Amino acid sequence: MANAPTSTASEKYYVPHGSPWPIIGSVSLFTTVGGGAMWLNHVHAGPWILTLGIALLVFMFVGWFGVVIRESEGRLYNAAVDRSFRMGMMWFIFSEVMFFAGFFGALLYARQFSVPWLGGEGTKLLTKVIRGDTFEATWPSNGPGHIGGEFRVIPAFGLPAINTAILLTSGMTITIAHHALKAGKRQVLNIFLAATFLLGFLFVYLQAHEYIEAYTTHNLKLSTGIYGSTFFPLTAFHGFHVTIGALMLLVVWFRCLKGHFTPTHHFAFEGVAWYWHFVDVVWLGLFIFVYWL
Amino acid sequence: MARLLIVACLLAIVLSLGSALVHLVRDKGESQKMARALTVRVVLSVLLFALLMVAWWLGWIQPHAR
Repeated sequence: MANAPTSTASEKYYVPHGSPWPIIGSVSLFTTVGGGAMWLNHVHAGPWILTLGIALLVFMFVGWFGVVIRESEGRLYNAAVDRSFRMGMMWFIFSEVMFFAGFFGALLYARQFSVPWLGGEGTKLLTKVIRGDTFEATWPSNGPGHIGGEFRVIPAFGLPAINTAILLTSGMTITIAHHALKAGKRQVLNIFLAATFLLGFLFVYLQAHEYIEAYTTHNLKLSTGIYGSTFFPLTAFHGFHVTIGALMLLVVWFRCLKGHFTPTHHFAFEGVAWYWHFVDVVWLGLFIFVYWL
Repeated sequence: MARLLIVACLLAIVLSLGSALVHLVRDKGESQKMARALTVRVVLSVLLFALLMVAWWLGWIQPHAR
């Protein structure tokens, strides 16, 4: 793939030749999913195969992205390639929006429809009469079966509020870094980009503390009825996205230190910056709908 | 009323974020529009956080656990 002549790079759509990464990606995904499925089916080797799959995935990402970075810095990409990267980003974000819409939709459905129905609201009064219990629809709730027993929710004015402030601050620092890149102020860019991923990792660390607190002192677990099974997937998948985002920011920071990107040629920075704003906005939605409204 | 304001503010944030995505796809790094839309997003988010705190302080809304 390194044999493509650079003199024609701006005229032709660059296509790498003989790249091993797609097949490595396929094998690693198959290994990851296979290992996960084996683990769920109590096969002893399951966790090891899953770990191997994840290690292969990381190897693939590092290798493939490394190639793309070198190709980009070698100016092998023309305007059409740039356009395809941007379209790819848009569709990736579309899938992310749909992903979180599913989880927020589940929370909305549980709170606005299924839990009130179980409490006898509207035309579902007969359901309550037939079941013959005294369940009153409230939120937070683990449902009429009180699955998981008594629990307390995490107060908004604890770690969640601190984490919101941390993510909002990181939103400001990435914006300052963005303007600095556009203005060619490299030192400001490097400092504020570093602050952004450090704040991101701090968020994940505090989120882990929140989970420990939930499990040990609040009896709030994934198995705590409808509340636990909406709270943990929403916050955990968000935390996973923050982790991925912070890692991407770290990679972009190293690239900035190496002198990559110009005020008009910095798609990787733009993509990661936008993604960071996206996870910040998802958290704001979470903070409002999970902890407040 | 406070809830409506909070949701409206969140919608405005989503719109500014969406606008930044459009500029990311269309402008190809050559304009300031994406950075400006994201600046609006950040300012609105800080305002929303302040609005939450003020609404709580005035007793308009209460968090789920106190």
